[in-house]
Amino acid sequence: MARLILTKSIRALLTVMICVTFVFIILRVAGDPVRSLLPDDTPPAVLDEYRERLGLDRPLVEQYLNYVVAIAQGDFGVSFTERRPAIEVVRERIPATLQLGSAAMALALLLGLPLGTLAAFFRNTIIDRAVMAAAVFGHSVPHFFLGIVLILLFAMEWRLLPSSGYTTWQHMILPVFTLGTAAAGTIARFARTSMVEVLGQPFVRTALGKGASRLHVITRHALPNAAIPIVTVIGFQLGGLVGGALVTETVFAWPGVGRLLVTAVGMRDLAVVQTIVLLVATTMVGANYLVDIAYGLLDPRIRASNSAGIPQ
Amino acid sequence: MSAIMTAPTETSEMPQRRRVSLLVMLAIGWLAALLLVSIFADILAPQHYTQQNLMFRLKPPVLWGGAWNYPLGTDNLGRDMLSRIIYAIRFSMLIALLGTMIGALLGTALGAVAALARGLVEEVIMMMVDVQAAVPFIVLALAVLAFFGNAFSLVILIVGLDGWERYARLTRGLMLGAKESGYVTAIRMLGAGSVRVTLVHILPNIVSALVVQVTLNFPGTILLETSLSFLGLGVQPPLTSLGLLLGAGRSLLINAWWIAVLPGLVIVLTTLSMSLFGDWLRDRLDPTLAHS
Repeated sequence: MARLILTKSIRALLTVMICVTFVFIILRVAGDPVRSLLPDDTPPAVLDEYRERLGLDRPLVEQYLNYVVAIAQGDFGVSFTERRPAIEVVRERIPATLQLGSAAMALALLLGLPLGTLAAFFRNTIIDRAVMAAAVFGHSVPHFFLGIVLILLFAMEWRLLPSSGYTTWQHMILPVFTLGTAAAGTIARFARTSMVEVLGQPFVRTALGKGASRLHVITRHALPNAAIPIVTVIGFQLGGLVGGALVTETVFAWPGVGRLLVTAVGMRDLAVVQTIVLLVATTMVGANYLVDIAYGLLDPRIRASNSAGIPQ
Repeated sequence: MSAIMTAPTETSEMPQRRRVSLLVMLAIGWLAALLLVSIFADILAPQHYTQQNLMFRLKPPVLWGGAWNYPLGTDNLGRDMLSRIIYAIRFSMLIALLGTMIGALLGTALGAVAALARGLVEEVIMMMVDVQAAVPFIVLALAVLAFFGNAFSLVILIVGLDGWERYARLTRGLMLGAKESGYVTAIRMLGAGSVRVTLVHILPNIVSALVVQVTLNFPGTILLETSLSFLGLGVQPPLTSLGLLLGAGRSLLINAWWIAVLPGLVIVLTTLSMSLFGDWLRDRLDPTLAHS
């Protein structure tokens, strides 16, 4: 287990480093930052002075190292639209996104897991087909379209729920549903597949033969064995949630990081953009890292073997 | 959205294959219709998609009290929605097709290089694959668009880069497997070089798996382009795309729901059809993929 954690930690760190390097390269390739900061008719002497002040006259390797050090210290530059550190601008938006994302994930799990299990248990019946049809539909509908249809029906036609804003719990219903549905569909599909596989195993038949109740067999025998692929897909869904949050927050005017990224890209506020990219990259790598460690905890076979034994 | 490609589906478990086939037929029919519409957009569209008629603004579709000369209604500048959707289908399909080709070629090439070269080259390529798989691509896409602006060719390139890692991973795995197989050993003994073995012998053997991957990736590609365009950061006016139409219709929802809903329906039917088609093709062409 210690070896597993060590190799996984090194890999995670390397991945974050590659992301930082990627952002650095893009920043440098995108053009001279001084020229975009200052007006076109600035005299060359002033340009040079700014370059020197920003360290842009240094060798590229030195610039890169300085950049890495600055990032490590939490210095992501200054947002030019808000005229304060980009990290502050981003930090204020994090709670709203976490609130939306965790509620959507909870909804996806609460819908997806029981429905997938139900479909597996009643395989090839009308229940199975209905659940799977709903699941395929759920992940084929883009977030922006689902959101708009929900606004059209619940906010405009029936006037039941608010279409945008962030103040009461009613404001959460439509965005959470929009963001959670696609993930619920995918989780249901995976839960069904791995439950079908596990339910066909001899130990399930043995447990049923011993006279254990169906509920007991599902919760105590089948679910723990089906957990690994399900944990994997939950890890995958995090990425989908981040992408979906961009769109969902924009549709519902939700004051989170996703909407901030969209506006920052529109305004070319590069400091904010790079902060969010690195924040998302670090979060995703961290989540994948936790999923990998969770494998080890869930499956003694993986704990015993080295990292090569982990199913990808 | 990437989940469609990774969801394991067991062939034997598909409930009632015949009924699925009818759905698949409908899906293929829809996709074929889209292809025809994209090719013959100039002939099919009643008007040019930028043609304005301020006398006929925000007219509803025929079934909701509109007139026959604008069967799907008009937008806030009196532009014919049918024509706009037809051209938007052309642009969105063009971007998705080109993007898919870029991703497939790049990913397959890198996967092949990784499998052939092994060692450090393979490590670096697979590391890039891991990074690409770890970070949600739309975030990277937005960052690149922020830094470089949103030219049409850049949008196509970015959409193309989405999903290359899946082809790379698949190609590498299949090629490493093929290198161990009997037929490759036999050809090698006849004196064929690595490149020849790869291009002439291994590639034709794994191409069906790659084709399946293309169909499974396609919905994601469409969704990426339409999402970016919806956010106003992808295709820029005066060009058009299904996502752009939907985004433009968002502010007019109260007065004219059809401007947003009709392009949205086209997107949903397309991704749904492509998912059904891809799943079916996987079961038909390549049963081994079902568990990968």
